[in-house]
Amino acid sequence: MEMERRIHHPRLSSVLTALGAVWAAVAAVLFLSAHRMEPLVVGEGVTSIRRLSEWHTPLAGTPGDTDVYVLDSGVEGAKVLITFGTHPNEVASHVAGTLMVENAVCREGMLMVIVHTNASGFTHGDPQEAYPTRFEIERPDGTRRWFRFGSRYTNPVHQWPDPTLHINPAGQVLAGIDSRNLNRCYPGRPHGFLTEQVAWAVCELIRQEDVDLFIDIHEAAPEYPTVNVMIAHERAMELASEALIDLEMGIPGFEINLEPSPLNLRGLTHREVGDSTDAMAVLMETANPSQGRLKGRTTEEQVVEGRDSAYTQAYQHQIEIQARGTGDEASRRILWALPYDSASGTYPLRFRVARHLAGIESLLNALTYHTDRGIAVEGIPDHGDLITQGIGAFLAPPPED
Amino acid sequence: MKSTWLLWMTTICLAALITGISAAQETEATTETVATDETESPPDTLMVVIPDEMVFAAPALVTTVGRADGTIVHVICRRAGIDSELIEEVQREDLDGIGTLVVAMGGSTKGLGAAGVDADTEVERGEEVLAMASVADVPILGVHVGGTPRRGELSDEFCEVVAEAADALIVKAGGNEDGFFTEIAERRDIPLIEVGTNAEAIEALADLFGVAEDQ
Repeated sequence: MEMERRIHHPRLSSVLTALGAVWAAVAAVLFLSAHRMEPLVVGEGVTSIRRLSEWHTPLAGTPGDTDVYVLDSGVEGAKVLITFGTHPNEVASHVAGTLMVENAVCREGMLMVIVHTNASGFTHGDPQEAYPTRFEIERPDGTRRWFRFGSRYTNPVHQWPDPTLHINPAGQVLAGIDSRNLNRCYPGRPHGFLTEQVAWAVCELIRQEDVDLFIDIHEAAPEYPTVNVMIAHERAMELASEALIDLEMGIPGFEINLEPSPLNLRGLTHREVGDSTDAMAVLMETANPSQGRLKGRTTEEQVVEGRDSAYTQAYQHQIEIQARGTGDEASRRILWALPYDSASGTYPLRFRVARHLAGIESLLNALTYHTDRGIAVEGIPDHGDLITQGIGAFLAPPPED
Repeated sequence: MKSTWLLWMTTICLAALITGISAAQETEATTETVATDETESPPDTLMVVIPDEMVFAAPALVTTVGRADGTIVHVICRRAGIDSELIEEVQREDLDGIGTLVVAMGGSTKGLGAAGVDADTEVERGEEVLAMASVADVPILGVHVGGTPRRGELSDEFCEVVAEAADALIVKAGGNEDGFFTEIAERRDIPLIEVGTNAEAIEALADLFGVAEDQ
């Protein structure tokens, strides 16, 4: 009986098939559009743009290759490399990197900036997270700049299949998926997985260019204990301490902690770059609710405004139990990073970017004042200005397609 | 066929209903507000008067119980003009010729991991170091600069061990909001200096060590 009915509706079948084809075509176009990188306007401080593959030629022509923006003062001084976008779902990182490239000018020493360190990770999202593929930031004149919301991992289209277990280049055994997690693949392998080769290229850059200070910019969930921190290799602890004290003295109410890089947590920049190169290595983290496990639906507003009702409620609950006084319950923390904006109980992107840029500036100053190799960088957007004026005020007009 | 369509329509309606309720909850919750942010000034600080006879002597040996903030406290000491050295694993002979043992309080999971010890082992080690200082008649100054993130289950045990043995405490206000250090200081009748910022911690240390202001 059913079969007879289907035979009697050939036109409907054709229409449904056509609709399916259109849907598939639209999906394919949307899917492929994820490979289009967000626009970046090169600022006046950028003296050259090199490719990461210049330090590891097998990367050339692969999805792992990426731009290295060089801000060379031409004046002898310290060399600093800052990597943003190691994890493309930690959006304050590559937005901060964009602001550096578009605004900073180096007056002494040399600054090198990689905005999309895991370029492949920007071309897809994390499965089952329903992340938006992009988000926008409005400039004061009403024009808008868009940014990619990517994945923590290299795109499996570019590196597949995952091993069952990943023995990373530092010898630690991790889950197979971590073979695509750039910050578990340091110090890299010259002939390893694509992600390991990216890590290798970054280390080669540091070694060949005699980089003095390496800074890696990240975000984490607000409930993660290692958040609002600098994590420093033992050779960078004093420098980071100086920077941290200066930060807290310079910006009223600014709280940031310093953690030592664990010896037994391998494959991360703060450990491996410090061990395998002569550079001092520091990693910084801000709190990002769109990464957290308490979050609700990930919307563009959540990403940019850092607003999530679950985190607001978690914070209120924490305040309540702490108000009850001392005791086991009061000593338990739900959130390690309290909302940055007290008025709304949110973690706006502009606060997170401002924290990162202030941290970078403080580290650069500490390098200058407390070592014999200095660097002078002007034009980094000020912490207070970013919070009051917003990120858009420091972004260049959107480039024409 | 009709039942299939009915099933589809019911599913769609249910999905729409759930989405609507979820969106309504979202809107409701986002109107709520909470307290404190980093643009606000730090809380007013409470400066406790230190007895004139209580002057800590240099050189200072800086160490930690909990493997946190040792380098920061060392840098603070240095900025205060105090001759100091940082040693994480203090041995008895390290205390020879030392004027004061400055102990950074608070726990760091990464620090413990870096040292390859667990919390219980660290508490035992801390108690031994504090006992050695006491036997050697070296005054102990406990310093807590980590604020709220250096409090909680992991940190409190370390803080308690130090605060119960110290001759004086310097504590950032954010780490003493629940009066944890105040209670111990009052019970033990030891001075507690509560500071708002690291700049004030530097001042407090300089005062305690009698370092001339022009240094």
